[in-house]
Amino acid sequence: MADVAVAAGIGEQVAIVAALRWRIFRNSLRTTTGRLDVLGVVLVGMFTGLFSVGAGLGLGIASYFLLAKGRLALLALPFWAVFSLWQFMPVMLAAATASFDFRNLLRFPLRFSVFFLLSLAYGLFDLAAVASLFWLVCIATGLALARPDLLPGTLLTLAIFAAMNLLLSRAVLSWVERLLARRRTREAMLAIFLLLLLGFQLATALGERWHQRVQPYVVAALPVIRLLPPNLAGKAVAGAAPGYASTTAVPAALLLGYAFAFGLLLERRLRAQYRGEELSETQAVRAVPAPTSSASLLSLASSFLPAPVAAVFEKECRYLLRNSVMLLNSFLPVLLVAFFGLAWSGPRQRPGLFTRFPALAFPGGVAYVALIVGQFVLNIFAYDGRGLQLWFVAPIRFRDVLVGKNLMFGLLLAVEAGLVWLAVSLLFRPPEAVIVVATLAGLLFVMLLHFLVGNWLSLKFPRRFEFGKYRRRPSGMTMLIAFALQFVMIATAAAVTLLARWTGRIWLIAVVFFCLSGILLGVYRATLDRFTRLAESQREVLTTQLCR
Amino acid sequence: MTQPAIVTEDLTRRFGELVAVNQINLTVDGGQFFGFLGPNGAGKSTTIKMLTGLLAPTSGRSRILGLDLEERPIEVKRQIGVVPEGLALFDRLTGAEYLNFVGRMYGLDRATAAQRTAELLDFMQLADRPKALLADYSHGMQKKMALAAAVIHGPKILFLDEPFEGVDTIAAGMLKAMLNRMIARGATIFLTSHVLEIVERLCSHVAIIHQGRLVAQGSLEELRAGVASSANLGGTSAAQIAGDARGEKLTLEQIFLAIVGPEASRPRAEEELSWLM
Repeated sequence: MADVAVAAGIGEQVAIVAALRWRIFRNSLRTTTGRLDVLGVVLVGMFTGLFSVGAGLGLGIASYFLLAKGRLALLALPFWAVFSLWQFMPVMLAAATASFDFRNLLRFPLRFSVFFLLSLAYGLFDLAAVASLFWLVCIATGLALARPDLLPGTLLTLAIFAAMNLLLSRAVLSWVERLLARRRTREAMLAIFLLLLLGFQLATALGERWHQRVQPYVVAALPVIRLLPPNLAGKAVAGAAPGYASTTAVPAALLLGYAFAFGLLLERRLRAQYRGEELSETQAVRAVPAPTSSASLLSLASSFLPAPVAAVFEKECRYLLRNSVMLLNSFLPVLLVAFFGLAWSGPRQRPGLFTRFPALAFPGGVAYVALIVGQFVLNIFAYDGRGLQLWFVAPIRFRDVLVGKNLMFGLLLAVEAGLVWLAVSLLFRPPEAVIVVATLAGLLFVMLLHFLVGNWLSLKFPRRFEFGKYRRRPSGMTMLIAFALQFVMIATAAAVTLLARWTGRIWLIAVVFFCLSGILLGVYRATLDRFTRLAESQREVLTTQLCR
Repeated sequence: MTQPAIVTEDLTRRFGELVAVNQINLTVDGGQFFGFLGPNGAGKSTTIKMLTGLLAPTSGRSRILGLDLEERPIEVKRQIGVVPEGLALFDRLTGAEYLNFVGRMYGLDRATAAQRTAELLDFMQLADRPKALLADYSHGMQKKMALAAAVIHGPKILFLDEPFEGVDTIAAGMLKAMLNRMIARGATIFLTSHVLEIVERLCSHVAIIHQGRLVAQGSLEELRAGVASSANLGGTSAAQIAGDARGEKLTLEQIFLAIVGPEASRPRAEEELSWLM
């Protein structure tokens, strides 16, 4: 029998884990990289915080006027905004969240209740949750200013609504992570996700085409929408106002019921984890497709490259094809461009941006692709794991590794640009040659700029991502510099476009971007040897960060 | 006279205040099966990392096959094979893909890399799961794969950091036979292991590192003689261990304890950790 006389209480266990997190954070500040990481996170947080503050103030003002002017039926709208942010942002972005896996604590005698609470606390520190809570505070303030007498009921409703959102987001994310942990379910999720997008698009198209026939079904669905949490929250707040038909109690109770149901869902998921559920991919081994056909294609594609560069290029292509999360992120922009195109080019055309300015469709789509794919270029060793050590023990120059990796992303961008061209040509009309050339020149510039900055960032601030895990957070400094990079690219594109418009020579865009790309290519080549030396000096940082 | 395979001159590595490896001067002749021993945290893995290019030394030099590692890293790396501490596998590749990839990284052409991959997979008994990713291999299978990758280019020197840890008895026997065959053909093997019986059976020469300093180096016989003479001179621990051997040949474990163990092997007082069952 162990000497532990009394098991630690819930509060004590939570305090111990909180102290552990604090110590991990404090110890991370010992290194310059760690301090820069925190600085980056703080600065990025400030930027995103500005948006959150602005939107929060807007919601507060809107809530004030809706209640003050008696537009009670519309009170659900601010709650829909909060609900959308809290639920969809973490799933869509799944980034910028703490990377500490509290499941590691399960080897200790941790109570399930503590494990559950920790999961909720973890969810509360999500950026989306913090922003959503701030929005709720703004809404509460607006409502209280409009009708101070409704404050107790409002606060109760908001508390239930917040709890419901927290439980739902944790439940959804834990289920999503479970599904994405195995290759087979990951592929299924990918397919479902695409089908959902297609289904949504199809519904929109059908709605536009058979507007009259569909309308009764939409009307029939309205009662269901009224029973969704944001509507219930709006109703509960409005219910307290005199003269309004409903009462606060019923919608608040229904909201509480939602919270309870989502809590049960989360409890079931966490209970499985608590019992020691293993989410390894062992069971999916046989599902790996045979590499023969892709291998021959890759060999063909890389036959003109030097052997080490070709080897790295092939390995990177294989990693991309096996990483569903990365693949989905990479090709999602192309799909979205296609879907937006469908929406704006239907038989009952709405005045969409690309319909009014079809010349913008191709550059817009390519810019979107570059924006999304660019994030992977800034942390190119993320998925190498322990294999990274091979780059240092193999008889190759590190520049070959960088070139091999960059080439894979270059190919990916080229393929996606081709797909965007195809989508735009089919949905609108083939873009003019001058636009295509200008866009490709711009893409070349953006790509080289990303390679240049990305190689440096990848060596200076590497961050390991788990293969197939949805949650990933690059270093704070990478996030900050990514923001700056986007600003530089947008500013350059705007300046070049304005110059072309001012002179009336659209072809000038291509010329300027080709010139800039030429300069960047020179800088890129010149920096490869510098980065090789940097990699040598960064060996410890890289192995410490990536080989854990 | 053949040139030494590995020579270090005052090789030092500091981590802040800590001196992990302190001015070690090591010589390993070509064709030797060399065991590099030391207690936990002595500096074994740090040394192997410096000798294979995974870690830069703070000061000092190392020459591999007569070539300076800092000055000519590519030429050196082309002639060595490494099984590092973390195995360095790209675990989202299949076994065949990984070996092919490593072969090409070491400069083999596609056909040779493919042929050697097939032979190695067969030899290591890893050919029956062609579609499995390395992430789905057991630890022992990953070890075998790391060893296969380390020898695919036919290195002249092989650095092995705990190669037998987690490997089953049958596979370990097979690997030992392979390593002995490499030695018979003139290769040099630099091995670290905590299993002293294995080192004693395989290695002809041994060096012992303790608290970052090289405290012994030579053939097993030379080390035995050193411990015996130390006992004759009255070294307490050495004398005690020599007494324990009662005239029999000292085992490597006894030699090791005699050299680094005066503190570690000291019988601890009864009252220490008295709460343990």
